[in-house]
Amino acid sequence: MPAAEEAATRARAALEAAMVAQDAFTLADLAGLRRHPVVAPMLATLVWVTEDGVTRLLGNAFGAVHLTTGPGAAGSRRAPAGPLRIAHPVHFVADGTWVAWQERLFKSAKRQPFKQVFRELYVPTEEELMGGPVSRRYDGHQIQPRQALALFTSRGWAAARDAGDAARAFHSYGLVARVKTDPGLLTVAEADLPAIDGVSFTRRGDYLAQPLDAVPPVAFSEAMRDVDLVVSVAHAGGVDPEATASTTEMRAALVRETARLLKLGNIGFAGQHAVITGRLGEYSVHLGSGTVHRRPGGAVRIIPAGSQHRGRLFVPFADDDPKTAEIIAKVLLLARDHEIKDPAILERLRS
Amino acid sequence: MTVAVLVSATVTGHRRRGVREHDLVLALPAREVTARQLIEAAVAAEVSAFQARAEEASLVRVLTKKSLGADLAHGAVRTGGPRDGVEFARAEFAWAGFALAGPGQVRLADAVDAALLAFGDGLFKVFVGERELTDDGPALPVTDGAALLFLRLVPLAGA
Repeated sequence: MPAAEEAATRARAALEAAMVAQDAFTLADLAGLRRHPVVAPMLATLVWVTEDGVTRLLGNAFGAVHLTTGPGAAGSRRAPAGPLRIAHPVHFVADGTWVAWQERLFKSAKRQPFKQVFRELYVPTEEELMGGPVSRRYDGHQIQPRQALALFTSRGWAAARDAGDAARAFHSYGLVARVKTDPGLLTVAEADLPAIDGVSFTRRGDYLAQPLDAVPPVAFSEAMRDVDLVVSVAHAGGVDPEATASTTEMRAALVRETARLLKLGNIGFAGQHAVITGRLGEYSVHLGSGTVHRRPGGAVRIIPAGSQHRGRLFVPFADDDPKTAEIIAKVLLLARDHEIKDPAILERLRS
Repeated sequence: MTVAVLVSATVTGHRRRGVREHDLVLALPAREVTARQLIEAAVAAEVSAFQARAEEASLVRVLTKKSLGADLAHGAVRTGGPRDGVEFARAEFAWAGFALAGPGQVRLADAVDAALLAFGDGLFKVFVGERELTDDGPALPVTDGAALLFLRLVPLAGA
């Protein structure tokens, strides 16, 4: 690679890292960077955000760094009151300018040094915020371990053999994003494909997952963006799984419809649970986690057997979500508990 | 002889709206349809729809206010265009004979085989209207406007 190209690649990576870390640039920093032959033209194509969340381009009239226009009509030239940061889509959503910035950039046909205005954005869903500190959005998606490792590494993640997860440190936030896979990416045997088993955020040097609403939005988005990339590209089916989150309401609707079609009259609902009156007992299946309880009594350990994903199936499923499939399968199984032949499951139901 | 049949498949879609339907056009035998024939036709329709979407995804998509709101509620705003790291991984693995997924790489015959195998193993159920379509059961008529339900399941074990 020629030296100039190499310098540009390094500058692009440094600017993207500064956006992810939300590094503050003072006016003196920016004045210095504007004298840098490689960096200066890049600064002009990026959108910046002020301390109070206003997104603007940078201008350089009269030799002094100042903020110029917003995405729409020309704004006033003024010197920023405090340090500036490179804006993230989080900020475009917050000040309502995202659509306008995209239109502006699209029309001007200017190339940004990295994907900023057209960057993917990930936010916690309502279900994730209510469902505890671990995001289950990508659970069950199987990935090719070698491809996944290459992709994770290229995005600054490291896989740990002992912890069985891949982790990316977000130093400026004192946080570590962790993706667990089962089995671990480094411990996987040839025949077994690791499946995603939760994405969580911990403080550095700690394994206690922090609540998702306490994770800074930029760190959440960037971590999930990497996982989405890995799940879409290194997935074990050969095609994009187009992962989407499913909700308990949709699952309840699907369980109800299935019960009607199969003429199963012994399935009801209570809150977040499907309640099944079998011949051997009464059970509840949680519509979020799929956990089975015997009523009265404790949890019944029934789990998906082996590799249920043999690549993507091109069938127009009512719900492609692996957790939904698990929940429906459990409800149907328990609704006909007198037909169960698997001795391990029967033992679980009786114990 | 095959005919084009417009059916609706139940899908769970946007949150709070619960179950909705989307239309599928299937090439089916003119009279009664076996499970195998229906699955083959549904897979063919899904693969071609997927390939159309994959081509679209390689173009940058400009957001609209409406799509942005809907995407945020689903937790992800995807914009299309090249993804970071992908080219890197492609180069890294080309030598080892790995192929990364990309648009237009789905072979219809493989997709049909995988679906039929999964159906045979009980990994999904198919309903036409009020009736379940099984491997060993009778063929059922699928006419214009029929409602189909493809229900995904997983095998379970005691642990």
